[in-house]
Amino acid sequence: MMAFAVPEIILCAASLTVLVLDSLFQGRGRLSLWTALFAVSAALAVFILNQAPLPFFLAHANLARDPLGQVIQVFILLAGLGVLILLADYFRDDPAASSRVSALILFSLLGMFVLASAGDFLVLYLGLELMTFPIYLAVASHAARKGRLSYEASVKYFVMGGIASAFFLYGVSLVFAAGGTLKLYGPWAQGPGVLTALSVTGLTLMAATVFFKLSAVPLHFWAPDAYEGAPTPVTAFMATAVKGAAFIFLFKTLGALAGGIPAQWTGLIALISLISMTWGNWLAIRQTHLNRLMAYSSIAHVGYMLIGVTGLNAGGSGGWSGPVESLLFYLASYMAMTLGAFSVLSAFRIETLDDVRGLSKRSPVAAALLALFLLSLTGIPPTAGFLAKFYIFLDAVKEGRVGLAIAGALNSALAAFYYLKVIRAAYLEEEEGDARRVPIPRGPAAVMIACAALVIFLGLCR
Amino acid sequence: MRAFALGASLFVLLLSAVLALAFEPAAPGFQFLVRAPWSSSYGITYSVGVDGLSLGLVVLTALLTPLSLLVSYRSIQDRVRGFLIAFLILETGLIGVFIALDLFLFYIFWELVLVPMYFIIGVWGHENRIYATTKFVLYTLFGSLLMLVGILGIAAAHAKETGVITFELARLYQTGLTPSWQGWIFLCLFFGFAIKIPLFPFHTWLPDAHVQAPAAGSVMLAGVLLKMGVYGFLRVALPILSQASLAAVPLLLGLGLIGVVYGAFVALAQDDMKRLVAYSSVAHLGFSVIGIFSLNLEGVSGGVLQMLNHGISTGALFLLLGILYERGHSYRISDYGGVAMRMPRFAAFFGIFAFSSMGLPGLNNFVGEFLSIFGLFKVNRAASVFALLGVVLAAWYMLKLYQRVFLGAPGVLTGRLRDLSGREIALLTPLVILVFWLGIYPETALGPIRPGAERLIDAVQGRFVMEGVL
Repeated sequence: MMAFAVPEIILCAASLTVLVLDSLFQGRGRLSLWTALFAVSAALAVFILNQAPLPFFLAHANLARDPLGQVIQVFILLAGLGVLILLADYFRDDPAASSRVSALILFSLLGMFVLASAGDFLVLYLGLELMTFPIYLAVASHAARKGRLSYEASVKYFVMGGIASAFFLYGVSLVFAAGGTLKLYGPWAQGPGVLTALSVTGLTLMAATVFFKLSAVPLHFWAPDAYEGAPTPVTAFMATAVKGAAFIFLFKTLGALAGGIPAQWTGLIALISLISMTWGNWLAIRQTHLNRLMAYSSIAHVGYMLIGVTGLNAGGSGGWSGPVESLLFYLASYMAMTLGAFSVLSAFRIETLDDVRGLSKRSPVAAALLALFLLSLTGIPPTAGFLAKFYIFLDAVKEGRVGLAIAGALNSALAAFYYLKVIRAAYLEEEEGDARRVPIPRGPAAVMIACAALVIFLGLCR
Repeated sequence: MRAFALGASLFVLLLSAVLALAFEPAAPGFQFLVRAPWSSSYGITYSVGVDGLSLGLVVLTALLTPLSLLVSYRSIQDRVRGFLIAFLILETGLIGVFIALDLFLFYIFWELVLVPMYFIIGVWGHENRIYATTKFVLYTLFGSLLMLVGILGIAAAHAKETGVITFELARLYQTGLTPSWQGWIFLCLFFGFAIKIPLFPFHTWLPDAHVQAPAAGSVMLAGVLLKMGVYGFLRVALPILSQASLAAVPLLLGLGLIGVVYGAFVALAQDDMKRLVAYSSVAHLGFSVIGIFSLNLEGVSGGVLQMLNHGISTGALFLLLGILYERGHSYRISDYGGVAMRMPRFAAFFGIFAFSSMGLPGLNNFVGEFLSIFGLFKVNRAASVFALLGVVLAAWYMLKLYQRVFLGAPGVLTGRLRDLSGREIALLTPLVILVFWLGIYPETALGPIRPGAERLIDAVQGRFVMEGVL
């Protein structure tokens, strides 16, 4: 039975090891990095290999395997690998900070695993908190460079996150009162008929937390500040892995409770999707700070993904039917292109649009890859981003939600405004002073190339 | 490097010539088919082929690309490799659009064209290029994303009716779509194509894009890119969404007519030569739209022929303007005058293409315009008179342009001009030959076009008859 939890054990041991290494060998960032990378890779390998048919329930532990969540867990680990590499490069002048933040990332990954394996609400909550607390700290770890802005971002995130978690707990208590059990896949799995006023209220509160974590409008206010104040690799982590975990959270909460997305909720989710897309894209246009711009971009992409979520129903393999594959494909390609874009930003310490100016002269390869990632985010063929939107829109049109598909298409055009702004700065605008060629640091280069390969490959497959 | 790119584009031209020679006009359906399954779960295949409607466009693209590369030998000196890469990707996308027989593939190539064009205008263009290229990309992206939803709608509607999801045009042609779906789908496609043509009032991106683009970019933009919009109507909207298209005929004829006259009037007022030719493109493609949407054999073949002719003559005009800019570094008419005295050969070439653009009988544009207006005449006589006004206006602004630039007293910049070099004469000659050839013996082009036009009209009218009267 313990074999079930080997990846979690590896992650936990690794984060503790990195912390110990950090205090013992001050300034030996490399050792921590390799330990962390090894651990995550090992966890990934064990996780994938451990796919021998597991029972959907492990009744004697409050854990459960969820096939949909498992796929996303693989994405999360891969994203975590990339982020750790970026961290080591970003903090190359401050190895102690690098080790510390790496340990925090590892703890957060552990939390995501606990979240994904949760079989009852308390374990779910535990995983949620374990995932986000290290992030609060990681956001603040940029104080050396950004000073108060970093602390402010962290405190804002912490306070709002705390309120969200409190909502969740209260919702859980209401659901417990209504159903008498804390188990996720308990009496509710039979169907939505058992929903009463009490449980619906609880469900609503929990949904609020879910949408908060997803940074969907109107619960998105923490995201721009948190993304801006955090060091770029941590922002990358928030934009990729945490988003993936938030989707696992979404599936577990809504799905387990009501046996699928309740029919009455489809309209609400569609509305949230619509305003997330529009609000996110609209506000991104004015941004000059690239982390903030990417925050609004991620809000918009959550909106696109929620288009797919509106079509989900219970049943089928993995507990869900409907556009599951499209959603997973979108999540995978979104993580690949976002991580890729952030790797370029991190490698060149780019914070604002001014820093991007003239990138094509300084490093043609990096500029080309950045352009690739941004074009993929816009949804221009033949990239993965286009194919992902294609599948989501196709599923929406097939199920008759044409209005959402049209809204998604128009929003993609709107999004082109700001993505093009960055490409324009990189290629068409000149920077002052001479532009000498700057080599790309090796670590981020590897991440960039891996992400680019994924973006192109995913864009051609299926 | 330039030689390599030029060689590659000439090779493509050679292949397209072989294609044109081996093409059998009388054979029904698509020829030179390549079909490979790509994604069976979505019914997407890699299907390409040509028929009478697309053959001419493929040859046109293949012809204009090496000519554009030749004209930029002197003018593009910075980041040459990037320019060549962008240009060849552009050619790939353009030819891809015209040969794609699967809607997914069609969309991919359609969007693929945007990226290199963005860079071509944005990096190698003139002073206001960033504004122009951003406007160009965003405006056309807006239309093409709506077109994507329309395409998805076609696939979804087809799937709903037949239970089979497919993007292949051949299959979609066979089964029609229920009229209820056609309305909104046509609207989405309409925006995508109308913005590209550009149809009045969606034309506002064109003048800036043209003026700010480098010469080679303008040639491809005017010569080929604009045809994508008309082609989209021909290939996708008309055959599949017949009822909606028929219902929209008055709208499209109206907008085309307005474009013809409006474009001509605005061209009259221009001092910037490129802007003048840009607005004349709006007018000429208005003729194309008028011809096609009159939905009779003369009109459709005239409209398709007009696309080819416009590509030849306006492409040539932009080549000439690029050559002039290289010497005088200005596009303003008021800076020039009496150029014919300094550049007699240039004036001769320009004269040929100016008269061609006007629609002088004996030169290529006349045939296309005449057939288009004839097609309209069979539908609505008053409207065709209105269209003839456009022809008269075209003569007015073209002659005015010619007179002010080439004749009369020498202008400010005229002193430093030198006549055409051998390279420039070489690149203009093929177009001159085509202007006369298609003017005197248009059957070369009309031969393949006619069966394609007939099939299109059958598809539109036939389905209408089959599914009952509105």
